[in-house]
Amino acid sequence: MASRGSTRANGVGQTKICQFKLVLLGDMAVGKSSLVLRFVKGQFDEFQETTIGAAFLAQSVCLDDTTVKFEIWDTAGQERYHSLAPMYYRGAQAAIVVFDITKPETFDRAKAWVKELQRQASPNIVIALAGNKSDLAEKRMVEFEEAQAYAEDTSLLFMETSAKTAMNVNELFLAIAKKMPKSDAQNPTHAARNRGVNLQGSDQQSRSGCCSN
Amino acid sequence: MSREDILQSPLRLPHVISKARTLKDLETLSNLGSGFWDSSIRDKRGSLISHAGKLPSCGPLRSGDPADVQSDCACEIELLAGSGRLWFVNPIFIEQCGNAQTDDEIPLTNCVAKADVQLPKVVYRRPPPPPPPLFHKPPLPSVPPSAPPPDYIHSHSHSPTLSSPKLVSSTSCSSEPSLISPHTDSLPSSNEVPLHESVSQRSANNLPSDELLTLNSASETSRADVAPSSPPSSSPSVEPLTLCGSDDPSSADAKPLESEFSPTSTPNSETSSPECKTDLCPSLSAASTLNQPENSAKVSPNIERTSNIEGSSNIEELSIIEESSNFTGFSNIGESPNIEGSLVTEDHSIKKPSAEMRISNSEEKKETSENDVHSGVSPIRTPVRAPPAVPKRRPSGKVPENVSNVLSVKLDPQDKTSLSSPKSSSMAKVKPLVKHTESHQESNEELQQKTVGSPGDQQKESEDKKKTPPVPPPRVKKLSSKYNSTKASQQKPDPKSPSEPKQSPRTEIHNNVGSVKIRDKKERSKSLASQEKKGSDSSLNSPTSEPNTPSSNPELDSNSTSSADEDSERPTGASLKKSHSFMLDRAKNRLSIVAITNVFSAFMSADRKLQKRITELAHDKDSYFGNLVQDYKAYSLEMMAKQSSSTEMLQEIRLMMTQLKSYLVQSTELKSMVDYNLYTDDKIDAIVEAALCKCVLKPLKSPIECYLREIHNKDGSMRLLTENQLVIQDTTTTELGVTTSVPDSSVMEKIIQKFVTMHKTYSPEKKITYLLKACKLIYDSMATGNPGKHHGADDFLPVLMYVLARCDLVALLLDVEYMMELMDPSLQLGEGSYYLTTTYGALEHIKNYDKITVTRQLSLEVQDSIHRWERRRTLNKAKLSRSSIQDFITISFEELEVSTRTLATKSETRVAQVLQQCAEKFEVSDPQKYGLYVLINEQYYRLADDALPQQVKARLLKNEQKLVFHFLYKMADEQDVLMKDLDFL
Repeated sequence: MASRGSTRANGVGQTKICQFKLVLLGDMAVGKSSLVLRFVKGQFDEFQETTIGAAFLAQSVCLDDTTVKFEIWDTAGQERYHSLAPMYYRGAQAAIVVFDITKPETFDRAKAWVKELQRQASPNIVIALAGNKSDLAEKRMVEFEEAQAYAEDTSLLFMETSAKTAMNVNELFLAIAKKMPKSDAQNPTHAARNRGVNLQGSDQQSRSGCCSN
Repeated sequence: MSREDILQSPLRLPHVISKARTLKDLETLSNLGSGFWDSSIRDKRGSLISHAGKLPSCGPLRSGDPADVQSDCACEIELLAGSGRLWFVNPIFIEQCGNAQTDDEIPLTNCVAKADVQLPKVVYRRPPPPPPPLFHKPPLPSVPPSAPPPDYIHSHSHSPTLSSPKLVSSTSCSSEPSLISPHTDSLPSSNEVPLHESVSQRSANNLPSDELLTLNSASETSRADVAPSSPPSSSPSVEPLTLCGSDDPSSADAKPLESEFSPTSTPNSETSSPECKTDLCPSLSAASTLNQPENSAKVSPNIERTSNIEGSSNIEELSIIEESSNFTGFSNIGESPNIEGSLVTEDHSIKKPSAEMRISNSEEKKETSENDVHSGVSPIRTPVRAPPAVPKRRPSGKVPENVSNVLSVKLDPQDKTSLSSPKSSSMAKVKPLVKHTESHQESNEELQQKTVGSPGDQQKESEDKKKTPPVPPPRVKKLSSKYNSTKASQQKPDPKSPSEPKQSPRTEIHNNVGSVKIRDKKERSKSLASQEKKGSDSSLNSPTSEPNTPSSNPELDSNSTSSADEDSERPTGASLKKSHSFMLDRAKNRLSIVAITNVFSAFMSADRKLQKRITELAHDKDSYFGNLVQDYKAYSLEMMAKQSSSTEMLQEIRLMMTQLKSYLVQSTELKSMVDYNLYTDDKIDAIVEAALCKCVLKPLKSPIECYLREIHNKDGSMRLLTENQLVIQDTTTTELGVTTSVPDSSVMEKIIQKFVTMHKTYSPEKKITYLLKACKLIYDSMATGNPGKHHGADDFLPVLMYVLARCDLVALLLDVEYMMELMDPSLQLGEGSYYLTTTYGALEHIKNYDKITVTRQLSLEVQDSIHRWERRRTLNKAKLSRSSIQDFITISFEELEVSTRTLATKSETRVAQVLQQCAEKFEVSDPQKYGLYVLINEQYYRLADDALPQQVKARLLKNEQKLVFHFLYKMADEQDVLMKDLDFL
């Protein structure tokens, strides 16, 4: 209800507003919510939409002349609710699969999620892998190189993050925002508004966006 | 018409008298003379004081001299003229009016001067409605009373004061014959007008009352309740008092009733007279306390109040006129039930002399009055009203929805305690809000006075009298809300049922007559309910044919929506019995909120007007759009009966709405009423969507739910849900994955109320707001013991499962489907979409709970459902822009407006195929003799068999001359020239 079509209307001047649905996957207690909360709270309030809870959050980031608005759908990590996940990732344009670097089983679970996404989610979905709790490096059980290699093999964005210290949190979302197809037909409801805007090639520019901290 | 309308409204007052129907009642009325109104109070309590209190309210507005009987009568008459609205508003209304006298708007209904102001509005509104419900609408115009009222008022005042018969005559003379007839019915009884019949029938029989109820949706419900009680015996007079207290508009009617009843209840009335005053005050306070649900022992009362306010606000714009006309006749009847409840409470108060007792009584009275409405009226009314109300009230509901949406942000903080009240206040608009605030304050004062003693009550009454005049629109809403509340109470057996039993015992103890009356009312209400149902059906199918029923339906609908809103608030109010000061604080908070909302409403009024006009257009038989809407509704009912898939069924309806919308947005019918400088396309789209919800979804909601239930009964979903619900209820929170605190019983109660409200709401958008409110309550409960922690889905979903397992899963299932499929596909739901998906997922999880434990997977079908849903939403939006007028053509048979069908045709559909469809639709025996014609400027053009009707239609629509054209299926003439395309255009 919070976001109506009109709110996504093109802004002043050349600013384009692209809205994307981003789904959060990962085992329970790996820090999915913390990661997103850190991202949302770290942004300017003016781009933050008030929501009733943290399971759904909305946050916009600026990339040059484009405002990318994420609607972030959290999922329950419990195995018993695994069957509900397809309802959330179907139709999502982006996904962050989160694991806990101190718990190897969460990395295995993350790999299972990636596999499922690549098999069942929309073919153009942008998937990012986040090794969370990097502040607990002394307890690390999943090596950075291992995860990095896996991400490269499966064409994922990968970063080790820390919701606690905010390390790489904004960077992760900005990287996703840059990778989002902003003029695609994958997002039919916004295609008309987004037409002609493609920031894919402007990584550096986007880095210097107003929201990059 | 205006005069007639005015007359009718005055006649309603006589109706009250007529309700008495006993010679004693009439005599008492005549004896009362100018004190007639007070006398009605006497009936309840046997004291004129209450009447005086009422009179002052009117008096201040006009002359400020309550003592002047004529002026008072005139005021009342005028109020009656604006009756529908006024009656509804009465309880709160009086308070507000007194405070809001400064407000020009408020006075309209109550004061003569106000009546003048109202006249324009009423007249304006009246025109649109007349086509369908001519009789009813004229009464609605009661506004006209503003101009004629003074004279009529005098005559009426004299007659009522002198005697009920005189009143009848005066009313009849001044007002329409129909009005007279009802009054006369009470004595001689014989009316042509349906209203009269209804009144007379009510007095004589329950059945008539039902009809009336159907005609007068919200107001009718209350009236119907009263009517049943009044006809059986004079005892209803007591009830009128409570009604008056609770409802300002009803108060006038109630007074007459009381006067009539006075003979029977005189003893009680005498003892209760002070109490009556107090009761009235409480009722007023109750109205003011709408914001203060806690005051009422039962939540339902508060909710009702709030809902009433909302309903009134909505109704004001859309259907105030209609309601007023309808209500004038019925208002008396409806009031009587309320009066009974009040009487009962009053009796209690009387018995309890101590100040403390009185205080408690006052609260109880408020509650009881509300409860009475629920208990006495609700049982009867709910069944009857529910069906008819849905169609008509929806319009009003829509308006409120808009307001609520605007206000929702502000309201949210208060949602827990009194979300509905703020909304309602906002709905009421700025004027109402001011009144409400005043009323609240007054109510508080009244409460205090009550605590002190009867003298204070008298003062309060005088104040109330002065205040009463201003708040016409709220009244209507209030009436509707009352009705809704009653319905809601019925629907919500738990909260309301307790209140009713309590009230009934009291009434029995104190007033045997009152109890008897209540029973009668219930019985009557039941009968009425059945009748109303019939009426509602008829209205759905042929709104135009029966003007009366349709008008009543809208009101009912408005009430229903308000009730839903109220319901959410009810639980808190019912559970909480707070001190007056506490209540006052709440009231103040609400008032401030209300004031803000009023400001918003002022800005929103233009939107509401547009929405109202669209709604009226949809009910206008003479308009193309109106015909389309009716055809679509009829088609939907046919289609639903054949569907075996809930999704497909709902998609058909959504498609129909989408097409209606696309037609209207492009049509000249809309262009003529929209200032395109003021509205963006998105805004118009939203307004049209809201209007369509009102005219299409509101009347179809009940059938839709009915068929959904049937479908899910067949596919086993209901059985799975109910079976697994028990399993999950026995599952530990740990097994569910709950790691936080879960909602305690009081929060669960609130959540369930949100869901109940959601279930009653017809607008998919508004349903989602209630879903979000329920989810917010869950989040809040999770945060207890760990404030500041933000909970994600890991924590939320298990708790949601825990909560859902304790709710009405079947209703939830229907609601979720309803929302998912009927929501405007062009809307980006965002958060709403997330929680809708989550709820759907949780329901599916529950439905397949056992299987999942084995397979750990939902069926592929379920997994796909959301995906398909999202695809539909996006595809539908794409379709939206393409699908349009082009997809439908409306064809009349032989002559215009005789028999009309809307046919779904594709752009490539040729005339030959359309002719074939027409032959089937119109059941023509020799189809080869018929042809398809286009009527343009009274010139017929026959279309060739290979012509494309949609192409022709598109050409005509694009024509710069904005030609008025109609398709006709008629006997062909050999000499007609076959046109392939209308090239000459």
